[in-house]
Amino acid sequence: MTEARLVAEALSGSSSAFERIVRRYQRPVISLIARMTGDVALAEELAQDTFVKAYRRLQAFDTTRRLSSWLFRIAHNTAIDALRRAPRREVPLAGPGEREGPHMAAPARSDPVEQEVLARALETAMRELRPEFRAALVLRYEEGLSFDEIGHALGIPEATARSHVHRARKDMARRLARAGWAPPE
Amino acid sequence: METNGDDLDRHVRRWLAAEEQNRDDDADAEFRKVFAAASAVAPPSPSFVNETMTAVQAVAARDRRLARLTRVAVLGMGVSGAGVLTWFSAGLIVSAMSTALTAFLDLTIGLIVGAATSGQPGTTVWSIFANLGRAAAAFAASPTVTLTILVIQALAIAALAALQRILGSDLESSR
Repeated sequence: MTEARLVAEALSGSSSAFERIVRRYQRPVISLIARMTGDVALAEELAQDTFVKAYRRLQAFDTTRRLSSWLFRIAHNTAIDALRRAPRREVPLAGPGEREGPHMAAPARSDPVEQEVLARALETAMRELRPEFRAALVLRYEEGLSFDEIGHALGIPEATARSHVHRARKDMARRLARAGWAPPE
Repeated sequence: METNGDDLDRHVRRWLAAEEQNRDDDADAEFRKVFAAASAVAPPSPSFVNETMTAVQAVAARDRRLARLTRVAVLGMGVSGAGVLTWFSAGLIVSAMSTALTAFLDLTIGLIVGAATSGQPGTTVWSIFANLGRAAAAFAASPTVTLTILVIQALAIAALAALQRILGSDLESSR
């Protein structure tokens, strides 16, 4: 079923249509918030708030936009509000296999220890970015959004979204290089 | 999508090389592969959808209750306000209405007289309009009539706004 149809049905009072929206977008919304807050349990709480807000404001949804970028915008604002209210809840991410946080999981290879170190280094570099940079990276590289859609989701101009992604990537590269992950000669 | 550890290592190094050499497009492409190979967020808990829908339904029920209460309050205030207004301003209203009626009769008579005299020789279309305009101006220039018109307009606007709000609440609560 198309997004527009789902929204129309939800607007006409169908709770099963809205449930389908929740089912369809739960993973990316939780992923974005988890990346921003560094806490999966909190991310689920905030994702629930996100969907409740979306339900109440569904009439304001601009159907010329993608539903996902509208939901990401609400999720982003909800996460930013939560970080402002309780910045100390931004806890270090848990390691692979643990449920407390998202992680850069490195599957097995010939030297699993080295892979684990690389995964940790990536995770640390990402965690040290500003929340809006992390959000921009997730939207770009995990959700595959265009810069225009990232801008809409984060409430910033397209050029700023492009700059956020670029700076976040450069910043991560610098941090990895500092941690000893130099590019090949 | 490549997901094994060797790929992660290779893509990280290619990405870092591209960043170092300012090859932005390559860095973008390699970083996408790094993200695909390394990124993993734990899946949502199985109860997430049910819990969210329970919260949504609770909020919807609360909104409906609030809308009903608002509608009842607006209607109650409107009816009691109208009653109080009528009680205390009945004399004024009757006086204003009788003045308006008198002025309306004056206007009607003026229009009839104007129309009757317009048939005389030498009368032009413009003189007919002038007569009609004078009669209308005489009607509107009376302070009581002006005030009455303004009051009627204000009441009509308030009634429309209240109606719109009540109908809006109805739509909202039926959702």
